[in-house]
Amino acid sequence: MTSTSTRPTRTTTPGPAGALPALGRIRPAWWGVAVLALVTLVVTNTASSYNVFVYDSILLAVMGAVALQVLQGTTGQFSVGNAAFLLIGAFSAVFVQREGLPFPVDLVVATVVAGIAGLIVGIPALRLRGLFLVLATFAAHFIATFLGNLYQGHHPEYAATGFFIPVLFADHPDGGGTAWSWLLFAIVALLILGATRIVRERSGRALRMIRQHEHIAPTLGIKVGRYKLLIFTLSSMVIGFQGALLAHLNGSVQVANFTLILAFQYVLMIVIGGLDSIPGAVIGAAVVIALPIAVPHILTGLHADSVDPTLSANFSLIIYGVAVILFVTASPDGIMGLLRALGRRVVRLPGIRDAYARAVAGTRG
Amino acid sequence: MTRLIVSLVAGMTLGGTFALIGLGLVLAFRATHTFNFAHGQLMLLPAFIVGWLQLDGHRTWVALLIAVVVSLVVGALFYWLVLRRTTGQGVMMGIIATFGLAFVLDGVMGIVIPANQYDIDLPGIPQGTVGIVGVRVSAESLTFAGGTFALALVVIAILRFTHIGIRVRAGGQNALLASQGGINVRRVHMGSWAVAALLAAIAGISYGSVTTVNASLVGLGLAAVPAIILGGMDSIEGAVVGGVAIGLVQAFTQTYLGGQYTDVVSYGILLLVLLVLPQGLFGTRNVVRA
Repeated sequence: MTSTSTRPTRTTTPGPAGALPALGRIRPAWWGVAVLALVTLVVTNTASSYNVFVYDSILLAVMGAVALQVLQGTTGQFSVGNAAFLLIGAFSAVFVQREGLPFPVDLVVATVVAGIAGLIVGIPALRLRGLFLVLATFAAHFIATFLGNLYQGHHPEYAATGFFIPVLFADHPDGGGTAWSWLLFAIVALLILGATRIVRERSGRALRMIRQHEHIAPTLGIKVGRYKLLIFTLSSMVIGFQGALLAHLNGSVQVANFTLILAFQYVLMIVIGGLDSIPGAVIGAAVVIALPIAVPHILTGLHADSVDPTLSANFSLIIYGVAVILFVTASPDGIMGLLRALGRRVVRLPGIRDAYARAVAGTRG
Repeated sequence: MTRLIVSLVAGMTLGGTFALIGLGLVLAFRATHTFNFAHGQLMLLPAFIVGWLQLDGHRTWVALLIAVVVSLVVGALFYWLVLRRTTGQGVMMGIIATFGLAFVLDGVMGIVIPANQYDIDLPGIPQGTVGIVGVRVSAESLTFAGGTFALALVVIAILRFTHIGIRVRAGGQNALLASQGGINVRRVHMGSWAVAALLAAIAGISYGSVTTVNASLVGLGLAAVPAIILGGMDSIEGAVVGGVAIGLVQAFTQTYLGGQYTDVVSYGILLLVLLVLPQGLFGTRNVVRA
C-alpha cells in the first residue's frame, strides 16, 4: 500500500509515461489539478446554478477530507474532530465579523484559532494512540459544541436562525456560484499540491512510519511528537479555514449544524475513497456529498413519482452505512484500491501490454 | 437536603443505565477490541420497536420479545457479517464499521418506524412517589435504579463464576490461546456481541419507559463513554463503578450548575482520565492496541 500510494494520482490520470517522456516527468499531483481544473471549467459552464452550488459544497468538503486524510490515512491519527474544528472556524469568523472587521481578516483569524485548538487537541495525541485518541477527539467535539452553545446562548436573538454572515459573491449575476467554484478550485489545488508534498518523500516516509511502527520511529531519528503536533495543527488550520468559508457560502452559522454525524461523514469520505490517498479523499468527498443529492433522483427513477425527502435522506444514510461496511470488509483501500486493481488488470491486457512494451522500447532506442 | 436526595436518586437511576450501557460496550470491546459507536442506535431501535408495537395495540410481552430478538439478531449478525472479516486489519477498521452500523440503523429506523417519539408503558412497575427521609422521589425511578444494578450484578456474576463466563473472558483476553484451549472463539465473540446488543436494548427500553423514547437516547448511549473510560475500557466491574460515578456527577451537575453543563463536565472528565490514567480505574494497563 505504501509503495503504490507515494504517487497518489497515478491511477486517476495515467500519464503516458513511456510514450512521451516530457509528459511523464510531470508530477501526478499536477495531473490531478489539471483534471480538477477541467471539471471546474465544465461544471461552471454547463451545470445549473443548483448543481454549481453542489459542486462548491464538494470542493469545500474536499478541503476537510484532504486534511483528515493526511492526519488519519497517512499519519494514522484517527480523529472524529472534523465537525469540532469546522465549528471553531465558523464561529471565529462570526465573532470577527461581529467585531466589525472586514472579510479576509475573519478567514485568517478562523485559521489561526482552529490551528491553536488543533495544537491543544494534538497534545493528548502525544500520549494517546488508536482508540484513545478517537475518544479524545470525541470529547473535544462535545467541548467545542458546548462552547459554541455558550456563545450562541449569549445572543438569544439568533438562537432559531443562527448567526448571519454576509454571503461572498452574492452580488454576482448568477448568485456567485461560479465565482465560488473558481475560488475553491484555487484553494483546493494549492491544498492538494501542498498535501502531496507532505505525504511524499522524506516527510511522507516519516508519517507512515509513525502510523505503522510508532515505537520504532524515534530510533530512525523521526521526531514523532513534532510531526504529530505539526500534522494536527496543519490539518485543523485547513478545517478551520474551511469552516469560515462554509459560513460565507451558506450565510448562516448554527451549532446544530456541526454534529457528530458530520464528523463521521468525513471519516467515511476517506475510507470510501481509500486511506492514505489524496485523490481518494477527493473522490470520497465527492461521493459522500453527492450521494444524498443523487438518491432522490434515483428513487424517482425507480418509482416514477415524487419521493418523500425524509425517505430519501434515510436511504442515503443506509447507502452510506452499507458502502462503508462493504469497503471495510471487502476492499479496505477504498475506491482508489479498486481503481489500482483495475489499472493493473488493464495494463496486463495483451494489446495494451504490447503497446506499452513497444513505447518503452521506442524511448530507449 | 432535598436537592441532595433528589440528585442522589437521579444519579443512581442514571448510573444504573450507564452501568448497563457500559457493560454492553465493554463486552463488545473485550470480544473484538472494537469500540462500538453504534451502541446508542442499538438502544434506540428496540425502544422504538416496543413503543411502536404497544401503540399498535400489541401485548407488552410480544413487543418486548420482538425487540429483544431483533437486538440479539442485529448484534450477532453485525459480528458475523462484518467484524469477523475485519480481524487482522487493525482495530480502526472495526470502529469505522460501527459508524456504518450506526448509519444503517439510523436510516432503517427512519424508514420503518412511523413516528419519532413514543412512550413505553411497562405493566407491574410501581407508580407514584415514595418518601426517603422526607423527600418524595419517583417510585418508578427507584425501581429502575434497583433493577439495572441487580441486572448488572447478575451479568458480572455470570462472567466471573460460570463456565460460559470463563469462556467469554478467555476469548477476550487472548483469542489464540483460547482457541487452542478448545473454545470456539468466533461463537463466543458472536455471543458477546449479541449480549452486548441485548444489554443495550434493556438499557434503552428501561430508560425510555422512565422518560420518552426519541433520538436523544443515542446521545445517552454516547454519554456512557466517559463512564467506561473512567472504569477502565476492558473492565467489567469498572463499567458499573464508572457508570455510577458518571451518573452521580451528571445528576449533581444538573442540580447545582444547570442542565447545559452535564455534557461538558462528563466529557471533561473523559479527557482528563485519558490524559492522566488512560487505562482507567480497573482496566488493564497495556490496553492500547493500535
